Amino acid sequence: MSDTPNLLDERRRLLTALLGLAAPFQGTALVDESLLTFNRNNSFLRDDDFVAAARAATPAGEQRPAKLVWSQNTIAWALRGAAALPGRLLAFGDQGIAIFARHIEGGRLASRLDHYPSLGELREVKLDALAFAALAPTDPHEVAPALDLVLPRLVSRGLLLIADYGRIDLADRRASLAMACAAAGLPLLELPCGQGLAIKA
Amino acid sequence: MASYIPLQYYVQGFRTLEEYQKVQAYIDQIKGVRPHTVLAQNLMAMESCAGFRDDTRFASAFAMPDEPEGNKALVWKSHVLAWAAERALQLDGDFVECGVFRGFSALFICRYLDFARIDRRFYLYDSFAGLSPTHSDASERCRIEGSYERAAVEDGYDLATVSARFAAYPNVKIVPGFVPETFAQALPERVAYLHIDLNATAAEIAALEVLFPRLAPGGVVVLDDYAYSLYPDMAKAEAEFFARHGLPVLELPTGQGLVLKTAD
Repeated sequence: MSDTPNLLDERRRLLTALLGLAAPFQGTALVDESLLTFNRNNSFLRDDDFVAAARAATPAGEQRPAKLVWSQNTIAWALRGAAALPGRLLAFGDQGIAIFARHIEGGRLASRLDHYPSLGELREVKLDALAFAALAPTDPHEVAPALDLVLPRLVSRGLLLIADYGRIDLADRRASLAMACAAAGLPLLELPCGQGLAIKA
Repeated sequence: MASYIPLQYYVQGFRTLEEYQKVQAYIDQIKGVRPHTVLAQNLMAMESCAGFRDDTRFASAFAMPDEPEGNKALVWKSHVLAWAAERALQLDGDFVECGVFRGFSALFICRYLDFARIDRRFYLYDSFAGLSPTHSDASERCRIEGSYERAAVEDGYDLATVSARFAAYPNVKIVPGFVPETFAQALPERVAYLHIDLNATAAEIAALEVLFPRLAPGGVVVLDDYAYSLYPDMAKAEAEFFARHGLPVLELPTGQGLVLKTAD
């Protein structure tokens, strides 16, 4: 479905305001459609492996590779942290995780990563212990059933990422996910880029 | 109608009144398109619900009486600290904050966890006299010149006032003096919660040298200014420190840095 003229106009106004706001903070501001930051080091933008992964994960024709850059930074950090842990790495939904696994840590994480595009496929496998799990299904309501499968397999210090955890239009889902994770002893951190992050003790 | 906020606490670095007014106008435009926009210190989240604000425990701990208006901008940083503190309860060890200033962050955690009921100690290290003369450089001291003296007069940045704020928490131990020398006075064997905010690179690295080995495996370190562009040398030194331990630092949009101690 194509965007209506009203939506396009709204986006244009938003982008104009965001770029105007960011302008005095050149070099320390990052802008995308859902998050604007000022006075930041943005050190990941000088990390060659990260930049290569972010570029590879940007769909062809996309004009703004920085669109999801803060979320991608979390993904790269969590994968690097999981490199030192026992267990497999799991990506449910988003293909971008697999791209990052191929680019960081010399690509050695790629062989540990299992990617499940759909909930059906995730339900069919017998999951091993997990050092990392990223839940980013196309249907955000599939996160809860995926959590039931993933949480018991997460190893000590294992990292869990939930895409769009804090999204405003999914506020009800946020509350139920927070409760499910809390019941499993996993407090969830809501990041300003919208992700949820939990780390098993 | 546009809602006007004390913008300087949220977006820092204006040089002129004109710049300030422009920024306010742009923010009003953005809020016109994205009414749920959440503003915190140096960040603007346009599609996040920041649902922690609706958590009554968080909201009640964060709503401290007699706090400067500007501390409201620390809401997302406080959520990160609350999360780290909640996790710390699952680990072995005490709580530590280096760089307490008036005690806002530590008091928030005490209120959030009802710390007086918890069988842990919370060590608060601060000089109550600004930056260490031996563990800071001239540019760091210049950056904050006079601000601690002003704070002492205007905001109650002194040992007696800050101690009084923690009177309801007998398990909080305030250790006055410069880091790292002051560690000789009191130091926990094991640390479960570690928050560092000393505004000086040498002092923060010295603190990490002593405290990080004591952090329980699975614990996190929160570095208050790691991602703040005023402190690029600090970020570099801390990234190198943790790289020696094989650990990456997460630069957070809040301006903080986050490190997970994965190994024993």
